[in-house]
Amino acid sequence: MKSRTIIILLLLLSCPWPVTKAKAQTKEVDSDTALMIATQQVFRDVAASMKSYLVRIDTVGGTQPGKKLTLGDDDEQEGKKRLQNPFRDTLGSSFVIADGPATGIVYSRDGYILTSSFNFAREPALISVTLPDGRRLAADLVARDYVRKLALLKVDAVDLPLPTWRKSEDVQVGEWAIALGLGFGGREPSVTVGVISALNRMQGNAIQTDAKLSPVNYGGPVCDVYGRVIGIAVPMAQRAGELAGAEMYDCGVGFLVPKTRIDIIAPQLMDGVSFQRGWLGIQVSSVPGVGVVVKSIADPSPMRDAGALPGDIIEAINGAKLRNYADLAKQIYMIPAGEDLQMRLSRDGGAIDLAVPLASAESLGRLPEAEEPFDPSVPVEEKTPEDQDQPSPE
Amino acid sequence: MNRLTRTNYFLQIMPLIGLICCFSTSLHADTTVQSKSQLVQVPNVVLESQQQRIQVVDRVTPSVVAIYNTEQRGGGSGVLIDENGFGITNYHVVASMLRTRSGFGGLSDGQRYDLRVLGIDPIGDVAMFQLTGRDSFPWSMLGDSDLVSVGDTAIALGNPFSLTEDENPTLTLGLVTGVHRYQWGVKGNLTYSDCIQIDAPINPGNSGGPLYNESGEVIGINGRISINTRGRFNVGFGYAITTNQIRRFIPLLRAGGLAQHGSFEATVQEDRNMVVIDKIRSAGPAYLAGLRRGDRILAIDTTPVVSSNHFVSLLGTYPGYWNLFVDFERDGKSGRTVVPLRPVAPKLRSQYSPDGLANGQEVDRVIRAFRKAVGIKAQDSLATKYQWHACRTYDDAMRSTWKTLDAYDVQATEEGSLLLQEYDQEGEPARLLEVDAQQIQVLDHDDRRGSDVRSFERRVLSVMHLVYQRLFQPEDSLNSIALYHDGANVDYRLDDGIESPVDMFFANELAGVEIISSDVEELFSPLDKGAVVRLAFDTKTHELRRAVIWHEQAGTLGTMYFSDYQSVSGVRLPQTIHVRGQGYRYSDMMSDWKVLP
Amino acid sequence: MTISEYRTITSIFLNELPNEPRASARAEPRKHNNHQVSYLAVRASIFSTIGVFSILLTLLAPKVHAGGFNHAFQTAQQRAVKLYGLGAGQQVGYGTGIIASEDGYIVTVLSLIVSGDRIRAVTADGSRYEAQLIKRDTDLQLALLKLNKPEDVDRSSQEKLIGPLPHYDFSCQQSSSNTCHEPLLPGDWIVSAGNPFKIADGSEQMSLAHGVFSARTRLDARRRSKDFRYTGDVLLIDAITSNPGSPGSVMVNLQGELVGMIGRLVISNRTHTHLNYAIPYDVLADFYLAATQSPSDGSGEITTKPQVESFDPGIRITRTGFRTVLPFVERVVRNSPAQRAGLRKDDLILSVNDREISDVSQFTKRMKTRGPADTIELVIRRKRRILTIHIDPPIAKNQP
Repeated sequence: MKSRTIIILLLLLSCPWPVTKAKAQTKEVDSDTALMIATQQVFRDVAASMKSYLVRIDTVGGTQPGKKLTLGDDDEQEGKKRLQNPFRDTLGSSFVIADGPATGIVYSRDGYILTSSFNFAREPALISVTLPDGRRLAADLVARDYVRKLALLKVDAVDLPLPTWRKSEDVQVGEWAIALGLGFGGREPSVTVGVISALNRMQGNAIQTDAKLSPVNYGGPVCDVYGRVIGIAVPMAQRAGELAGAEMYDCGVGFLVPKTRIDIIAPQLMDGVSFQRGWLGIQVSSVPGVGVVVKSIADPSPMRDAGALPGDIIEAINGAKLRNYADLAKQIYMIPAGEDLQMRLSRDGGAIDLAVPLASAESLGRLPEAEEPFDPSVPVEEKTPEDQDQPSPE
Repeated sequence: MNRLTRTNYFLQIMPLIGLICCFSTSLHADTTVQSKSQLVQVPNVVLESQQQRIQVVDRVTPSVVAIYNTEQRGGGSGVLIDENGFGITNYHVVASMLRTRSGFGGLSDGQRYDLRVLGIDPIGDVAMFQLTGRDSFPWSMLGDSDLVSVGDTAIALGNPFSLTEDENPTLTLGLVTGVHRYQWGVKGNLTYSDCIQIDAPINPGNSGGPLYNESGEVIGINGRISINTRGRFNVGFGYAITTNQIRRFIPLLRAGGLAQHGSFEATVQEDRNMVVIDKIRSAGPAYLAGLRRGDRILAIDTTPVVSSNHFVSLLGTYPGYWNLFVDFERDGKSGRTVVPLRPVAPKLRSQYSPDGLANGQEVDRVIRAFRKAVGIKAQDSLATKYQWHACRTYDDAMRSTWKTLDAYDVQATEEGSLLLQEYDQEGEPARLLEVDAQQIQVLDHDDRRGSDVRSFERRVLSVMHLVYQRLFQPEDSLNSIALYHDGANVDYRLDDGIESPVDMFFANELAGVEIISSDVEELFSPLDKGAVVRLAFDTKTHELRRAVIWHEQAGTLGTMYFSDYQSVSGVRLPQTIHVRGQGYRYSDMMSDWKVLP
Repeated sequence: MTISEYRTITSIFLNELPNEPRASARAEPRKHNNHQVSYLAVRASIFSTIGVFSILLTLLAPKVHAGGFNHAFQTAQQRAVKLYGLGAGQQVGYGTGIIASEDGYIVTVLSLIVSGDRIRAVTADGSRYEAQLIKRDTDLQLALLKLNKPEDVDRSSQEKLIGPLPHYDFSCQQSSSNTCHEPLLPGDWIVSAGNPFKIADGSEQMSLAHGVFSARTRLDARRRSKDFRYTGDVLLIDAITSNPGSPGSVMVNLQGELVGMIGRLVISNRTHTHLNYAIPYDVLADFYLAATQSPSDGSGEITTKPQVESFDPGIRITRTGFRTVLPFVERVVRNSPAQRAGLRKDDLILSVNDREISDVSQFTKRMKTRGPADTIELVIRRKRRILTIHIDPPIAKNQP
């Protein structure tokens, strides 16, 4: 628009740097093009500046986690609910991890490398890291955060250059987000660009971006225009599963874990302690008009210890009212084992308030799988009439 | 067409001079950040454009709605367009909520508000809703989607995959990647005509969410995507219904109606890069407006038509009854005609009953606005207190102009009926008629001297009476009158007897007319059933502009254009009435109003 | 049959509504009846003063989109054709092609379109042409077409009917001059023009796609070579172009200069992931020059397969059955190039010539398909150390 044209022209006049830059590249450009050229120069510069902090991670061996995603629960009521879910065929995952390198970023001068746990879902036998200076070193997987999908590696190195981090509180919806990855191999990072889509996703564990994120850059940084790291790209979804969220690769909905959340978990990971979500140890069903009804309780389990009984209706968790199974899943799946839940049950019309400490999966008796939210079934592929244009069998 | 919008740009420049000063002071604001040597040097032009986008997104975000059904399950998005909580979304987002008409709408303040579904447009995949629970809601400005072109910035907001936990929407950025696109519907419904194609990522759940331009005006509603074998994920092809299409339907949708789209009742084909009429139905609106097979279509609504696809696509954006201005060419001569499009009802699986409550509120609002505009106080009852003298100044049949011809004295009676005294050209009293809401009764001698014109005028004046009687009732008795809000239409003016469209789109509203209908079928027997009078009120001045007598089969029977509003005893009433038949110029009348004490 | 009849449903709604084709969307005449309602004269009208004003204002109004993406896109879409393959009266595919000469040579991808009985091409102005397959290259997965007379022109006419068409010049070689285009760097904007989902029809504008150039690489770092025959460099981009009809789309930089062409759909056999990439300009230019210079040999085939003279480095790893086995070296042949380079038994081979390998079969394949490089570069892991080993070829015995 005219208004912008004027502003930009004035800015160009008062700021000699971009003008000379633009002139050097083309003979004659309008202000729109000049802005685009200046912007792409920023993207180039960010990519170049981040090269000093990006590491390439190669893994050898391991198996596909495939079957881990299958749900054993055959709750009929819930099954019907899932079929009514308009997004049912986007929630499932038949995602298979491809072979190939992955991306990480230098986290400490003495050789801690931050990346995504997605890259190690196959439990590889060997991990090697290629540092920005070209040295290739064997790496140990120190610990994983299964909720935020982070992983910490350690290599024997000192005086590694550290990237600048962006203060998470300052991040604004609408600003440029530049994602880098080494998943295609080589020394040059691949660049994808988008904007910050939303803050406070996944219970505050993630910032959302529309930059194309995929296994090519999971574990890699997402940066602002100055080349400061806003966060680490990870696959995420509102459900459990190591690969959950990866089916959304490249679709314009991607997540990164911001610095604040990394800072919270990093000391624990450095100590070699992985982070797991906590479990209640119950099987529930959501009854329309009634709510979330406890069907059975594992023994031992935190819910049994707290005195819950089958038939109880879970009305609220941490003050949030529950209407259905999805609400329950949303409330608990990001909370670690050991943390207390404030739960309000309704039994025979009376309310009961409980504090339930979540337990680790290993400490539970039977039935832990029932808490797996949503339906991770194989997505239905929609055939378009254009399928004929797929590669021909030559 | 966009004359006024363009002039607005010039106006916008004025405050910019002030703004520029602010910008120049911030030119070196980033030097502190750049002091760390490893950081990228970012030119101010890039920072400014980023900051501009952040501000735009920040400004519009509060008006974006996450739509949930009564079970609080997510499914779509929407956007509020005025402070009373009226919002627009896709029909397919609310289709499953029609039984109860209720649901929830989440806003970025973290609250979920009660949502009521108002009118629907299944053919165009648009629906209107209203949120309640706040005194005033944040809302987004509607832009002019005719100004959108390929390469423009496209900002989409919505709730893909129901990701939001705090009701804050997801922003996705891209470009307009195509305009004037057409996407087939499903059994006639959900047709995306003349839509905007974008590559901003649009995913399941974005449905109904707003598409903004660079300056934060809504230019469309995102509703569908193309997919490949990957499944229901964005692959860079989203389609948005244009706001200019939606705007034509908004008044009806606010009134809880079931929108009908307009049919031209003629097909076109391409002949050497020209769009010509192929088949035309003889009783259809295009034919009645004078168009014939072989006529070349140059433009509709002043938009040049470039291909037959383009024509079909453009046509899909108009409601039924819309007065479409068609520029055409025949034998090397160009002409313009008005085609009132015939309404086509959408096919629905179950019966849709219009929202009577919403409709009554809209009728009420329009009439109150009219009364306020002409100066009738809330409790005034003029229904029995006015009389006027009308005389014809022009007679098409007589080929004479501005000469007093037949004349009438019109007076309301205490009983609410109307006495109509007719005079002949010599000024001698002719017949005396009494008209009430039901019939025309001849009180005096019944001579057959009256011309067709006279008989037409007699009906027209009777209709006038019914109209005024209803509008002049005290406000508290308005509810008892069988009137219904019938949506909007283009406003046009008479230039030397020729209709010209008035610019449709101002900054945020339709500069057309809103229509209120009333059944008047008795007056027009033997055409009888299906005759209604449609009153058109100016959306800006709220004055009554036209009364159209419309018949379901025969189309427009007659139109009265009211102009020259002048104050009579404190009430502003139209002094000139142009009366037109089906394209026939019957008469122009001067009216001389009196309000009785 | 007109092209508009090819239109099919190409988009879906974003919730659970069924997606069924609509019978017809035309404003069709209803039942024809002869009841004549009074004819009304059509009033000829001079366009009102409003029209004049709006024209004036249009001229005065700021030109909103002088440059930026639209400029690049318009340049590109003027130089692209919409392609439709026809076989047995049916459409067998559709796509996009790049106009390479003013007389109508078209560079596109090798796909079902070009194997149809007839190929139809539509230029930006809506003119329709028959296209003929001139050359195909199965290794590069590229095809060269030539446009014939427009369809709606009298075929007996002797006039020269093609062109001059706006086109991209393939004669400038990246190596010899830098006038082709600015070197593309990661982060640079790219704009593509093509007809995915055949949204555009006749003279309607193609679809724009935009994004940034991500990296130039080979595909084999992330995928099995069997997925796709093309083994050369590709330009990875973050615009989504793995859609039906996208292959053959023009890809340009901000200045509108041709930098590549969207390649065939590549969907991993294993992960089903879609890849977004373009074939670089230099590959296209080499193909175009070879295809237009070599005389037509009837088969229409050209191959650019390099001749590989490989040597045996002397590494022995056996593959047992179908199990995935890590490529630990079992034996190194005495006095072999590998032994001279320092490779030992039990070393774990991580990569060959900078390409990752994860099992024995991959190692075997890499060794078979490796290029004519003089030296093999192996990255190995020996206990906790990671080493790079360069295996030089033996001095050839039959060298003069």
